[in-house]
Amino acid sequence: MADQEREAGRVMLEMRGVSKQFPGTLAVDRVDFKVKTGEVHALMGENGAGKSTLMKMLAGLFNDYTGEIFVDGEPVKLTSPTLAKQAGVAMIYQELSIAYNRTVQENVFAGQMPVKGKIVDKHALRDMTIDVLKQVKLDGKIDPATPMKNISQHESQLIEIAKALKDNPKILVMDEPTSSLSTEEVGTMFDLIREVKAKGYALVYISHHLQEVFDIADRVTVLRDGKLIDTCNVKDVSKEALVEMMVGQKMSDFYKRTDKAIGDVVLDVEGLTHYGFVHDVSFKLRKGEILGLTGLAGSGRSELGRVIGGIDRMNAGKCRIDGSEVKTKDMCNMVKHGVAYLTENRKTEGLALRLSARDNIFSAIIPKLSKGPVYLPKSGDGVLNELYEGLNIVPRDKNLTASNLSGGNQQKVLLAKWMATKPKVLILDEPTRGVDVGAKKLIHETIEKLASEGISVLLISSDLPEIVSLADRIIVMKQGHLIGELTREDGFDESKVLLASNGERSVFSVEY
Amino acid sequence: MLNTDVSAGGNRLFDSVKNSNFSTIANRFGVFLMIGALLIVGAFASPQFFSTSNFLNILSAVSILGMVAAGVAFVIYCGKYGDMSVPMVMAISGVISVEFMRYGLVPAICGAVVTGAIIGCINGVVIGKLKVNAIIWTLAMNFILEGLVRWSYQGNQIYPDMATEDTYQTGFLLPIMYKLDKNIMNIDLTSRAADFNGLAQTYFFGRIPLMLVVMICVMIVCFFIMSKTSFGNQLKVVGSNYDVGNTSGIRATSVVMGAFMISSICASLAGVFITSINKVGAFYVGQGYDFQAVTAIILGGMSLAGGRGNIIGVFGGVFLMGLISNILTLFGVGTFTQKMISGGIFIVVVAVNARSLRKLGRDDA
Amino acid sequence: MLKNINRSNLVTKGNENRIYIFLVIVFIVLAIAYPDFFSSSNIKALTTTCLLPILASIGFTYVMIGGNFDLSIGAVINAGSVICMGEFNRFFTGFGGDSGGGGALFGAWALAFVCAIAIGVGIGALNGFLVAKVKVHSFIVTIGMLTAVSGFVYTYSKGNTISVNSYALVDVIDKPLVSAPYIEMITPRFIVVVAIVAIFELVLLKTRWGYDLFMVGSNKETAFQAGINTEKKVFTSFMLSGFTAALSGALFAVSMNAAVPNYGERGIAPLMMVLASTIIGGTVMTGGSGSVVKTAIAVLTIQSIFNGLISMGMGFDAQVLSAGVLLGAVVFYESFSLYRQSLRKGERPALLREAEEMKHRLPAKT
Repeated sequence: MADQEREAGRVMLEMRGVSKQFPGTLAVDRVDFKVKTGEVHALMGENGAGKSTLMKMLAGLFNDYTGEIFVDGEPVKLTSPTLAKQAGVAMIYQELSIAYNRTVQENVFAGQMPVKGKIVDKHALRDMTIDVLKQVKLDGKIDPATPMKNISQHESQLIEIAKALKDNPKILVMDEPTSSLSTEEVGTMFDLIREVKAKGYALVYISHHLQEVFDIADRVTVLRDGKLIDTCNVKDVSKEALVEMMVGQKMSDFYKRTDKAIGDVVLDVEGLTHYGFVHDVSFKLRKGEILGLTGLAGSGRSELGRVIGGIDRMNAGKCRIDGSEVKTKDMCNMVKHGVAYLTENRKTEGLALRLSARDNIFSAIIPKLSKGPVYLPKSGDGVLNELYEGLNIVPRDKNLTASNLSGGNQQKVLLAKWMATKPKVLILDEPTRGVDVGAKKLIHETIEKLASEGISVLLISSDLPEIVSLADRIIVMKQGHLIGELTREDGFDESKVLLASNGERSVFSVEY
Repeated sequence: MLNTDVSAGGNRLFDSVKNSNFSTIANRFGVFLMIGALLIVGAFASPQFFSTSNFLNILSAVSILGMVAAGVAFVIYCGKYGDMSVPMVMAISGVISVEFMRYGLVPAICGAVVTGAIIGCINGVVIGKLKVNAIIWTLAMNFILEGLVRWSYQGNQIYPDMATEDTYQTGFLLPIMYKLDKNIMNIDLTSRAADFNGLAQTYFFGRIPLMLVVMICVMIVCFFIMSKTSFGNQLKVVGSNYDVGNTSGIRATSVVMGAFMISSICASLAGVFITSINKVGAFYVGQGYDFQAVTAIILGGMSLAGGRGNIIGVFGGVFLMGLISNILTLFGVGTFTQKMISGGIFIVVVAVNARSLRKLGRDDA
Repeated sequence: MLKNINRSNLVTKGNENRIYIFLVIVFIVLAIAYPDFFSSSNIKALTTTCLLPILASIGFTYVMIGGNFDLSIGAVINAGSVICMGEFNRFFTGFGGDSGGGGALFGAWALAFVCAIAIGVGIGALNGFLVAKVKVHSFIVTIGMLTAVSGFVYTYSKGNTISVNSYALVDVIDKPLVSAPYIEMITPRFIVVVAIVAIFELVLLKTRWGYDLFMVGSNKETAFQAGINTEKKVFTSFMLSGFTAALSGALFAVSMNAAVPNYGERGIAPLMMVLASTIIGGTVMTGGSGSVVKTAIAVLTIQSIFNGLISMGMGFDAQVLSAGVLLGAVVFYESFSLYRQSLRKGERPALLREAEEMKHRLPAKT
């Protein structure tokens, strides 16, 4: 029965004309998607192309999608996580859900302890766990009774896969499973995936890494702007062709670029190291320059921004602003020196959602608005109005609780908060993540304007069109290292940046 | 005429704002509605209810609680649920002030306040930096302090006006003070003790107790600090979301530390007065004030999630507790039953608060 | 890398079983400093003082494993004791007092225990409902409950000690089974407590229910995804906490033949004892790990220290101080290691290795 089911080449998952509407956008637009048994099917696309929406649809997180989904020829409704599980879809997320102070075996069989009478059968549990671990080749390497907190990230990921395989799913969906792994670990992971594939599972592999897709996938489906572009055999496409499919024919002058004067070095970073995250990074940022910083997920790009912003610790290295060295240990100090770091996590770190927009915008400049110890928020009203006008934040009611604003306006409030500090160096980490098109355009224009006013911008972004159109220069990180630089003189476009962040060294103007 | 689309959108927005404001208003002014209702009940309870002396009674009965609650409010405002070390801070400050009163009232109060500040500082560093569960840590702190006070006095109470042979051999700081200054034995203890015990018996205009005035002053100062200073507003950000505070260039650890210091300083002031009322310093003088303070603060509409509420509400909460106790007494309800009732009220108020919080939480999502 | 993991495994094991190591050290020190420590009478005295906190801490440990706190147990202990005594007196009189004979005695005690336990379970259920369903923070719920219940206890007892005139039950439950040295501490009360500890430990470590509770406390999201009813687990843990606390109060009152409404308010409060021993016994403050037996061992350790301090002529004061310092140190240690862990979350081991190798080449720390 099982063998029959797993016979290679059967269509296991079929999505027919599925769509998902979000307020304002059609995130997935009539996509057809077929996965066969015994294949690794890569799902690719830029940020916002609809990959994650499609994946969430499979996980049963939406109950209002349209279109039809068939699993093994049977029509199914994936409107809740339980239904998705029952239908045989298993998900492995980027962020693992692990009970760290329980053992491996308890994590694998959570809620399904084997019992003998009323008593949990520890031997059976152990044997079953070893069986499960065998599938990921961890039997013998890991004792099932080891606490999860002593297991490395890599092995945790494998255990998570084993846990998913245990339920004998029909379709296994993996979201960026290699983003936090080293090269050797990726190799092990791929061996495992090949083995799982050979057993006749249908695998969906979501990734940004081009090389990985060529290494592991059999077929690839590319999405762009919520639409299906093409599905083809990996053997039949070249890297360049794939990149073109992902990027498409974009209007290169979507954002107006004005030629501007770039001044002296403002920020000079030398040998910056944060153990385990960022390693020996040096670069210079000039006055009025927009320096793009990109890299794949887990490359350390955000961590670099956090260290310069003064949130995370700098273990070694120097950071100079206007030629004089500053201590990055204290964010308060960095703000005083004119460095502002806009976080990528708007909802958890960026805005205090229960406070008003006014309180949020003033939160970084409370000392500036004070005379001695007395806080005078009224003195900031002028700046506040200016920011509201400049960024067109609606509604204009400044006492509105931040949680009642739309995503785009929340992001504008966050930007306003850091603009209010009048920074010299503005570090923007994914400044347009999860915002609507109008807000995105306005934020881009604002960044341009700020640069022309002489503010140096470090733009950390994985949004290719954004970084290509805005940046004067792009530096690229991979696995914690700065690996190269692309300059505007030599020219760069989206495909070049995409190749660069995948570690393709030939495209760099300057290689480190 | 406005475009229909825009006005529809505007209305929806307006509705959501109105709704959220309604629950905020109910939260913020609920305590004053309750006070109003109780005033009406009180009028039926006894003809003497609406007399100046009765209101002065109510207020002076809660003036110690008011001082404590004003301080603990900062801890709750910064999202840390409560300061369980308050009872022992009160006790230890009382003991210290009794020891220091030999040099006069001002050193006594200063000594107490400095002690409070030091304890608050330790609490703040541990909780702010290491993100220890505040309740567990302050409970542990409470136990340590209790042990210290009881150990140094070997479980005895200390009376301000009593000095025997071994008074200067045991004690918290007394032996050290004695070593530094042998003259301390010759100080006229009786008059100093009378001064100290008189603290609680000082009245302005013959009827307004000093304690009440101090409580009002503490409330005003705390109101000013919480609402009008840069520290207070940084506390608001940190309390509402610690990570946001930390990534907004606010020294979140220092701010949390400040909150705990204010809490301990207020508690130590209260400790001086309660010691003066009881005319005895002992480890148990502050018992129960931790819970009562949290009750008053929550009744006063401060959100347990931090960053919401103000000292005016806390004052309302404190007054409400006095009022409840006063009315129950007028109705002839015993103190034990009063305790039970106030515990019940606390649970109901907290449950309602949590429900409205969850509603707000849904807005966040 | 492998070496590192082995080391950290060892550290984890050591930390998990620290209470046994601690107990042995305390025993050795006391045996040297205080030769009478291991005398039969001292062991009996020590064991007897442990019984109340051990029984009360069982439910507390359950609640903490589920990721919550029950600060109301001090009040519930008092409620259990005064209700047991008060209801016995009422029922005994109702059944005709001494003239009712053995039947009246037995019936009155049985009903009194039922009442005491029912109150405890009821309070626990209310706590559990507010925490699990209404989603109020457990600290706040149980603090409020503490006030309300202690008010109730005072009202019930009118602030007085309630004593009973019958010594029949205490004669049974505190009578040694065999009056021989070193086993004379084995009384029916002792057996009841040991049996309950054993049952609760077995449920925790051996049954599916126990495993599920651990999972709920360790990671609510994982537990929920695995199909565990998290709300019900939390609710039940609070009920069990009420049960053990009330039962311990009732048994204690019976052995004293009297119940006071404020037991422990002037000495070492049961809450402090239970909290300290649960945390020192290795139950993780955020939930998901712990053991009833280890908590019981921690009670024994702390009581041994107290016993030693008394033998050295120190009173309650030194006891409170030592327990406080111990609790403070453990809380500090646990939080500090969690803090260290959080700093390292998400780091790349490969880069760390590289950094180690290059350390000598890097400039000095800035």
